[in-house]
Amino acid sequence: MSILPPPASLLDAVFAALAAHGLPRDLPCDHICYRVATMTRYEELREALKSEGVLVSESMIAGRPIATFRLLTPYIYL
Amino acid sequence: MSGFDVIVVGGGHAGCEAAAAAARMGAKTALVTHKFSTLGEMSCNPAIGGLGKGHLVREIDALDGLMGRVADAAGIQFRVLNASKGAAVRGPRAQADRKLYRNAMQAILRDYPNLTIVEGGAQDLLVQNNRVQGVVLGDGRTLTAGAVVLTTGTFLNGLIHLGEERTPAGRYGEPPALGLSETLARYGLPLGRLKTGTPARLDGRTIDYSALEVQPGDDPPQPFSYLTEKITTPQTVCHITYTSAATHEAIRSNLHRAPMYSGQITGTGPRYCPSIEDKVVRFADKERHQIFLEPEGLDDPTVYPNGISTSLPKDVQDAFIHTLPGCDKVSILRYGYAIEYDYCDPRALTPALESKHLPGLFLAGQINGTTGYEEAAAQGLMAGINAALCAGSPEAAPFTIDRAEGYLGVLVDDLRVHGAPEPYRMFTSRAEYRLLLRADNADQRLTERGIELGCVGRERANVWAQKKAQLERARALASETALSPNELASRGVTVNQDGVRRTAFDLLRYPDVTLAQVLALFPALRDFSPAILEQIEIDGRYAGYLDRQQADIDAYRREEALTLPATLDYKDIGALSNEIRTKLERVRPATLGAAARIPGMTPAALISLLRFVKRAA
Repeated sequence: MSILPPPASLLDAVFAALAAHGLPRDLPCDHICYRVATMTRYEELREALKSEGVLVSESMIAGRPIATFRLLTPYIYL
Repeated sequence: MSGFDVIVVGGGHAGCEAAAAAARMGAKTALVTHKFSTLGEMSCNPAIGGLGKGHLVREIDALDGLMGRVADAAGIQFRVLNASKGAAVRGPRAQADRKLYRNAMQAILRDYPNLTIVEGGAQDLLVQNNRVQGVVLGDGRTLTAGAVVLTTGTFLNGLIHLGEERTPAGRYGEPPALGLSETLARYGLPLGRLKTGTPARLDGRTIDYSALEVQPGDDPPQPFSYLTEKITTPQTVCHITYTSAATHEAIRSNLHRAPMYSGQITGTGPRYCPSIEDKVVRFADKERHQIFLEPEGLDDPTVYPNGISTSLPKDVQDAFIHTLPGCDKVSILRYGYAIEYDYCDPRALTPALESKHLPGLFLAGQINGTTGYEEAAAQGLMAGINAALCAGSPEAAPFTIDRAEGYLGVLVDDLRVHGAPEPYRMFTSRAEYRLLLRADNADQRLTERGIELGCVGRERANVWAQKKAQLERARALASETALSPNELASRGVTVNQDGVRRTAFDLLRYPDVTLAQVLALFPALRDFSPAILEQIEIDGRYAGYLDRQQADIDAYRREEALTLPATLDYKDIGALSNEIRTKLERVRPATLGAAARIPGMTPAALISLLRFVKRAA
């Protein structure tokens, strides 16, 4: 994946935090969120991600646009 | 006498605050009210503040408004609600002596510089070239001004319902304002109908308090105003009673006589302050409802039973009130009632609270669909300031506060974007950035803006300057002086032996380290007042969260910086659906951020707007 930064460090932190609460490390992870700071950046990424996934849905949540993509190549995190 | 810069119509909480704010701004101001003696009247609950509302009072005070100081003079039971919870949701509240409140407000306004009180009823607006130029009074007098603020409360076409009885009135015993409603409709302001209610008033001398729960106030009481050092008014207590199955049965068996349910009332009521008949129907599974018996004054036997507002007929009120524990022999001084009134859809206002239909006309308070003294006063302050700016120059940039600066901003933005499909009241949950928008730091957020604008007087500016200097010294001390892990361990505080020296702020991030321990470790901090130390503790405890919230605010401000022209023709943006276009035309959001908050807005429409803004830039 070239557009977004690799998510491994984020997922490491998430699973470490889960482990600290006694939760297993092998929980299935079916989606990952990436937040941007401006509408301009949102539009740029939304357009760019269309080449790397399929836009499944787009809606407003609490005044913020949220776009959900199914990636053509899924992340593998083991 | 006839020429003013600003005329404020209405002497309730919005009107008093609007008039004082305009006058502080240097505008020659007239406050038109039926009677001087009712200025500052608390028509309903004799209390100020609460969750969200207390935040508004502190912000009004930070901009040198009146409500906080008046409540401090009149408060007879002070409590900080949610005191055991986080700082963001604590809400200062005070039970007020109704007469002391009125007297304190009138004492301030009587000699307020630049302010003239005019007794009379506003009958019509003076409009020339589609711009408001003044008001016409019922006795034929004409007052001219550069801007007019309407704060008519429930008086606009007011209609009181008490069982099957209907009486045109603005509030109990006072006539409604009929002509103004017609005028507003004539100029195209979108009017709607809302309702609110008030409970019966009881004679406290006939209540048996012996079996009731006592609710004391805080000791010491915490003032609202940053100018009040200490509460000196004698304090009293409230009591708590409950409805019972017998109460509910008395209400349920007479529901057909309630104007709410018989179809006699068509206006929408406040969901968060329902009448007792509404509670009995909507929460049918609840066995009892709490009722606070609140004294209306130190030398007044009247008691306000908070929680049983009603429009049921008198005989039904008699029946159900006498089922309440402690009230079996109570004497009812006045019956409760509901009141329907006209309001203007606030989506037809600019961010300055000026009418889009009638330039020069500003609206504040219940006329904009809000409920509550604090919400009214907050809008009064904003409208008064903006009316003064407009009177000086109609092209002047308005004074606005954004959602990240204060609840004042949240209030105005919510009203403009969402309208008031039901009476609007403030809650802490309405503010996205509530960790920063706390009741304890309103002066830090707003007073300097008020000083720059010119609505803050010398006394407050001096008090703020001293506090600011103290805060800076305390923050420097708390962030610069540090102790090593060994030094901490020798004084009973265990941290990782990592060699990192820790400041007071660092230590406050540990949930098990108390402020008292920090003061023992850094004794120089003890020289500061409790108010300053409270800020240091909050800064330290929530540092990480506050940083994160600041990042959210930065993002929000970037969207707010993308402005949409007031004259924008949405038909020029081809990609918008008819539904979205209609919504945008009704609200006319000032920024891309405001557009995003419109219910029903879609990402596609936002992107179209964004592209349009970029092209226009």
